[in-house]
Amino acid sequence: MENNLNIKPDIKISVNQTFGIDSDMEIEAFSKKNDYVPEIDKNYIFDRDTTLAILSGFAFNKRVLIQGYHGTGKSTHIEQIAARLNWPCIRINLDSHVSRIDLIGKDAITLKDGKQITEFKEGILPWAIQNSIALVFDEYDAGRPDVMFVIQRVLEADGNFTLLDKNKVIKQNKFFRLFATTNTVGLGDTTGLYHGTQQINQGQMDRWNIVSTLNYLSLEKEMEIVLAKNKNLNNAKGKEKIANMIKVASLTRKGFISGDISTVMSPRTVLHWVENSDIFKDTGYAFRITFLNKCDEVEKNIISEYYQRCFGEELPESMLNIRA
Amino acid sequence: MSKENNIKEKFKIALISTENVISDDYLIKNKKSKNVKKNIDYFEIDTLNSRNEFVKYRAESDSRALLKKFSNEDIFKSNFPRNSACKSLYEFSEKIRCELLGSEMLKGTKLNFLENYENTLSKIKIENIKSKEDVKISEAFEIYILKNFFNLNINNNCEKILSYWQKDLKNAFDKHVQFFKENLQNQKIYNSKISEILKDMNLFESNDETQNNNEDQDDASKSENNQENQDQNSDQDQSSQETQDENQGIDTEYDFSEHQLEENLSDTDTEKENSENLMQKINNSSSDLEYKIFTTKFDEIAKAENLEGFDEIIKLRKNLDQQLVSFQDLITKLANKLQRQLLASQKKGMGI
Ligand SMILES: Nc1ncnc2c1ncn2[C@@H]1O[C@H](COP(=O)(O)OP(=O)(O)OP(=O)(O)O)[C@@H](O)[C@H]1O
Ligand SMILES: [Mg+2]
Repeated sequence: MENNLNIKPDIKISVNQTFGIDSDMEIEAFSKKNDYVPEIDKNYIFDRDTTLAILSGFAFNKRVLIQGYHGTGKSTHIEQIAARLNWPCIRINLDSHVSRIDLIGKDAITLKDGKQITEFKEGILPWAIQNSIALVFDEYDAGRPDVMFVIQRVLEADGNFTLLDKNKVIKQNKFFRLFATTNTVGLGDTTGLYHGTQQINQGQMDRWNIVSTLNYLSLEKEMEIVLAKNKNLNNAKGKEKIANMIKVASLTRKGFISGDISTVMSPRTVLHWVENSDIFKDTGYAFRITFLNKCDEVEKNIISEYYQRCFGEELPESMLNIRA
Repeated sequence: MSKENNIKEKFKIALISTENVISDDYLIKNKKSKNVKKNIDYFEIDTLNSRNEFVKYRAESDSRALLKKFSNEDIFKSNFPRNSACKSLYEFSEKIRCELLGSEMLKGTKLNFLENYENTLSKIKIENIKSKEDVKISEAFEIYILKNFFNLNINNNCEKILSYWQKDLKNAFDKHVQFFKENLQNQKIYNSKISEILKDMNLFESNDETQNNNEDQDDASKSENNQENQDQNSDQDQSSQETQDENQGIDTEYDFSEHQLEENLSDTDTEKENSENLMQKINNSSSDLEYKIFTTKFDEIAKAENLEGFDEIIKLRKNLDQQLVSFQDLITKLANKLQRQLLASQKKGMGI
């Protein structure tokens, strides 16, 4: 980890041109890319509200929390916006294994002049704070309480961060940004869909300046994404096939939300399915290897019914075939 | 659970889920989870031996789902024909409207409907039909609608049945078929037009569909009515569904279905039967395995409270919980599964 990136925004870009969103906002950005800047996905489709929320996070140093179901594109939205601004961006998945010392740092034994000494090694948080970095906490609601209190300290935009272990006060870089994505709105999970999520402390929720919800894309938008990446399917027959695929995905999402199945098809899965069906020239087979095989037995029967409704064809997993 | 029951239950679970997601009912379900059980308990699978039966259950379930999705109850009620005798015709027309909309949206549902209607129509017998009096208008109406709205190829028997009413139906509907097809999306226009035509037909003075009233039909909810309707269609045991006072029926619909359901539940849910079922289940599943219990004579069941002190138990429990944290995902899945199975076996107790 380099100690200091030493970079500052040096250009302004137009939101309208870059993101295709009707707005005359201009936003500070970096002219040069570095290792921490994510790759641009040319065909990424930006949701207006979410994009504006994230952009104001970048432009006005607001803390932005994006909420929504699994696979709606929360993480990638932030990433793709950072990519276009050349803003260094780091994602940390706050699952239950991330602990306080992972973030802050710890004493580690190192060799210095042939002697073993203990030295405090800073974790990722102190480093990020001191740099022009957009830090994204994924699965924010799954974070452990000790971790959440650490984060709380940097949530305030002018909040300085004290490293007790090192007797040091760290000042936030002017271009440090903080985002988070979560499946629940911080009330813990009332639907039973997201286990392992925690209730987010109200004091903590309060410190987020902007909370935005991202839902699944409409069929048309998702179609655009798929077509952009599979130009050979841009004809009547191809479109019908993709529409049916997206319908299957949409039914699985509803099934997931209602708790009937525990695996869900994100736009990513749909893309993989399209690719695989092109390779194998068999939509049903491709469906099974891209998605169905990830599901458990009861779910397979359910999903085969979904599939039949959309395509009018039976999968081998369909109850009608199992009976025979 | 026998293999057959197993398949029935799995198929049923799959159908219920499909019905929910097609109808967008899952959203309502989240909000008032109290009603969930009542909602999903409303159909039973009797036999499931042939492809036709699979298709029948699929079509019925799809139809219910689409009705929920596309049919607004208030509009439906407000256009209810004055002449209560037209009730079943009116209901059937609405069911078809929703099915046609669903067919446009989901290719597979269309195939299910077509195949199921073909199966049903192929079972129609005409031996006992000698004159117009032997043919119920509702039967002829359904055939007419299927032929003209679903473009179904109908067989000779059906043509014969239709022929008795051909003139009336042709005069009343033929010029409007296109209009209906164009206004599938607009329930208000569609419902009121049907209602108007039915009123103008004045069919029922001459028709001998007599008061075959039965309370159930009076009070059943709209969707249930349609469901019954469909059941009866498929049996071709089309008794008349006329009611004397449909308005009253509609007002009381929900109470009734809930009431009925609770009755069913309390009938079978006695503790004893439950535990018997459970025992049977345990025996069944163990007989599948090669392991056999030699004797249970020396078995002993002890409660944790009697073995250890309170503090120790709390400590152990905490310890256990801690070890289980990493299995949270797995436990969730298993719990979901268990719940499904329990729901399924609960229905087994309800008498199939
Ligand atoms: N608007 C979009 N344009 C293009 N691709 C998208 C879009 N939204 C989602 N995707 C695709 O869907 C996949 C899932 O997105 P992402 O990982 O951002 O979802 P998420 O909301 O963060 O999910 P999770 O809740 O599981 O973290 C991505 O790989 C991306 O390719
Ligand atoms: Mg994510």
